[in-house]
Amino acid sequence: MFDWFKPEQRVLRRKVRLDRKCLEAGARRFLRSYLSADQGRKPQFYQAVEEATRECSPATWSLLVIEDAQIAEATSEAAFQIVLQRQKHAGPTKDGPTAFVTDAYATVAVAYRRAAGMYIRNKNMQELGTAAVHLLTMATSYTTGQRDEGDTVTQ
Amino acid sequence: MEEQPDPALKSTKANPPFSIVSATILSARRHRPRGDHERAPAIGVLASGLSLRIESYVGPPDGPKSLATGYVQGDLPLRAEARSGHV
Repeated sequence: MFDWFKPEQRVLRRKVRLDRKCLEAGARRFLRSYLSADQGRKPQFYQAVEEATRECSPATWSLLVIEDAQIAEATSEAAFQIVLQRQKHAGPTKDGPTAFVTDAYATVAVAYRRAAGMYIRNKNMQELGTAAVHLLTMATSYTTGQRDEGDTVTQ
Repeated sequence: MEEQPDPALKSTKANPPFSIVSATILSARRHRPRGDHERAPAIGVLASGLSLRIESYVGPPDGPKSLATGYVQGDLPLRAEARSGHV
């Protein structure tokens, strides 16, 4: 019970509050749009989150020396910062290609926050994070499948 | 004094931080050489299962028909079948 008052818990709660304010709506919108998109359009969602993840991942060399939790934290923080920047420049727009990309970054941020265990005490964000992780899993599978097909064709 | 792990990263039954869910995206980002046994599953099969789970977490998309499950909202028997993997 006393964990609730510890400074690190306060920091965590503040971060989750900020995520709810800055990331939740975008990630939820992105996931719902994905569900309602037809099969021909779904690859756009996979590519958007893959590109966002690539942009936010720590450098390849550092993946060999840092822990999984640190990778998740670094990736989520990078995606979070990009969302803030894009929201600042684009304003509160919810439609169009700019908002689509911003929402993709929000989805990546939420997925990696979930992976870092930041949403343990918040059921809504934890569920949203799990949903985002599922989309990233599909995106990885899609891109890997595309690459494998490309390799087969070139052989 | 032994260093205590960050409570946010403590594994709990309800939310293991590095469960399969989390490990999936993390391991995918490490550029390990893949053998045949590690090939990604076909996206079609994966998408049908995971889209259902996404929908269960964020709710059905807007509109009368859920493309993730292929059922019309309110058609509960078909939805139940979809969830049990029979369709």
